[in-house]
Amino acid sequence: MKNRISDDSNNNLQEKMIEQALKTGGFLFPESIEEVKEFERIYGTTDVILPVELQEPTFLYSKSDIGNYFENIKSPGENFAMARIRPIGSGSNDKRGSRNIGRA
Amino acid sequence: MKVTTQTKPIEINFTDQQIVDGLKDDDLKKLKLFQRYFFDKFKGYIYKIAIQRCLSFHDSQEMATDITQQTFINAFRKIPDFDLSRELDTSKHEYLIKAWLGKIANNCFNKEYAKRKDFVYLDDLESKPEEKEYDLFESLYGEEPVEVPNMFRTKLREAIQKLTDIQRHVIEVYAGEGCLDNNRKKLSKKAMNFLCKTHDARPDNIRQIKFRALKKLKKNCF
Repeated sequence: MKNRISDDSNNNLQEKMIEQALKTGGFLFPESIEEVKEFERIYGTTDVILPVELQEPTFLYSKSDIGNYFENIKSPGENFAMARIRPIGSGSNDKRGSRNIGRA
Repeated sequence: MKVTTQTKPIEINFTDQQIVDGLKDDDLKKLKLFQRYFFDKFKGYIYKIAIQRCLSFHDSQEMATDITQQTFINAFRKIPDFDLSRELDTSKHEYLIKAWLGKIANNCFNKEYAKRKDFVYLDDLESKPEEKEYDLFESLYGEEPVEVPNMFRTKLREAIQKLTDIQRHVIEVYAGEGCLDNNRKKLSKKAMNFLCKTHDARPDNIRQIKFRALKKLKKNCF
């Protein structure tokens, strides 16, 4: 009985160690303060080489937003002056693709 | 894909609290400015992990870039629910933001993974109303970590390489939910459903895959 309890707790510890190593070893994004600290202790906080697509946050105001905006104008003369592009997060009910259309 | 060394982020004199507050500003000019600050400050952190997570994919750089971009798009949508002022110790703010972004990024990874498996993953794990007991902010503090020796990390990295793609993904999802040890916590229905659909398998098969993968990892690590 005593051995079984010991085996179980050993198993639990092993599983906890694997879980912890996965969460702080770059297999998963750390999701708690302690995990972030541990990840940064191991991998440091040095700069990484970024692709050009991440140099500027242009994807926040993407072509599709602008494209959809023009596609949805039925009568440009009527709507053009009223519409304006709003960045993501500027409205509570915004939905990607249609959120920037025709909001004054 | 072209790569370039990271440009120096804009000099930021704002605190994390001010930046998060700025992301909730109604003034569009200010909002854009703070989105830029926030993105510049945290993009390197997210991309660094994303590229590690995506290493086994042939288009790892593109996938990591997509995940990074989507993480920030989702973060800016969810920012009204993120209340950094609940933590009075400002030295913890940066860690809290990174942990919060991590939750969003893990979800984005799953979506990208499902896309590559030709499964359209429409369910956004974080967009649905959470259970009453669930406190997003509280969850960012986590449990006291166990000590993991460096030697063990190296062995685990090698052992993970020996797993099949499916085994690895199943183990990662279980670990992400803190369910590797079944006695402690069961995998959520949502996560099980996601695994079943992505890998076209039944819950029993998924549990079997997890059991075998975990056994392999233990055999190689201990």
